[in-house]
Amino acid sequence: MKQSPVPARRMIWLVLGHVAWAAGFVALYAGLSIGCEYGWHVMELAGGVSVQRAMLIVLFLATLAATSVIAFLSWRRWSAARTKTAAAAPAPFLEWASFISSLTAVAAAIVSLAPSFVLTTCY
Amino acid sequence: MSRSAIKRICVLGVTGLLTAGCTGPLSTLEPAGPAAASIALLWWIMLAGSVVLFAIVIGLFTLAFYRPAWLAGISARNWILHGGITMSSVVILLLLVAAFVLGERLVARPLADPPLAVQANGRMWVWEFSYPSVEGPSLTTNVLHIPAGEIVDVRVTSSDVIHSFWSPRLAGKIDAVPGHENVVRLTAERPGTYRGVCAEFCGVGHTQMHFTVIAHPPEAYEQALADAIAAETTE
Repeated sequence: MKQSPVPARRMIWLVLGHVAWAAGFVALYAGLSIGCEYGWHVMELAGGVSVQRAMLIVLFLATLAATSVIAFLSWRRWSAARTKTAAAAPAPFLEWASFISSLTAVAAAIVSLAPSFVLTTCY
Repeated sequence: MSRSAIKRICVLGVTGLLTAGCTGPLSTLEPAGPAAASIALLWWIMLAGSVVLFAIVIGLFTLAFYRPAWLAGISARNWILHGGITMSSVVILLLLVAAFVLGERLVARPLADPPLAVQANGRMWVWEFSYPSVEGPSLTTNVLHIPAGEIVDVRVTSSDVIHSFWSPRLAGKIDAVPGHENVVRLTAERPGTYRGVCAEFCGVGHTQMHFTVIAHPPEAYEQALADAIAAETTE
């Protein structure tokens, strides 16, 4: 069988950022429901911040950190692939697409999860 | 009858049919309280936004046919970047902010002066309402009595499957989940009769599972509720 010029494992970089975002989203959604059930929104942690709010912010920051690291690594892979590619050869599309995809995962994390800073959590 | 007259009648007829859905006892576009008004406002914002976007897209489309030179200077990259990414991102973000701001108004957060609470229990295929403010048994079936102009928290649950409590002119939908209580906060600005339905498919009787909300003048509320409970007991 003819071997593919692009190893399949490189494809994972296309979706890695969104896998991290989806995992963060599920964790935050589950944490929200569990916190409301156990009354974490009325338990004050410090400075008027409830346990619920603190937990949601930590989950958001963890998701943001994970997606950002993936975006940074994708950017490095793209930079490395560009320098290796001969001037006449086509640009390293897979690496470029992976980088853009991971950037959209960072944006998705901010847009969908950052509102946990301000929105009402329970009731 | 001339051809243009027939065309005009057809256009007016179709417009009339389309706009007939904008009013009526179950219309979300005819709000009778602040919660329903917030939801209706979001709908109007979305409609206005979609009309503007449609006009822009059709305008550009028309230019591409009749004045292609006007658009020749815009590169393919800019079409994708600004038309496909910038414009859609801005629109979605604005909608999201509007939805968050309006959604926060619907939240039944605790108030310093606790509002009147009523219980709503869905079961196949009736709505049972009870009134904690009344001593003793207080059940009304398929009719919810509330005072007009006052905030009311409807505590919704179910004793069998998942139902959904929805009185479109007063508030949004809220699920009635067995073993769990959800709260929808509503206010009827004026005395009147408002219809409601079960908004979650719950079996063969789902379409018959409707109810009525009667908002009484505040001074007549207690007596009207007592009469309704007495009538229910004697039935």
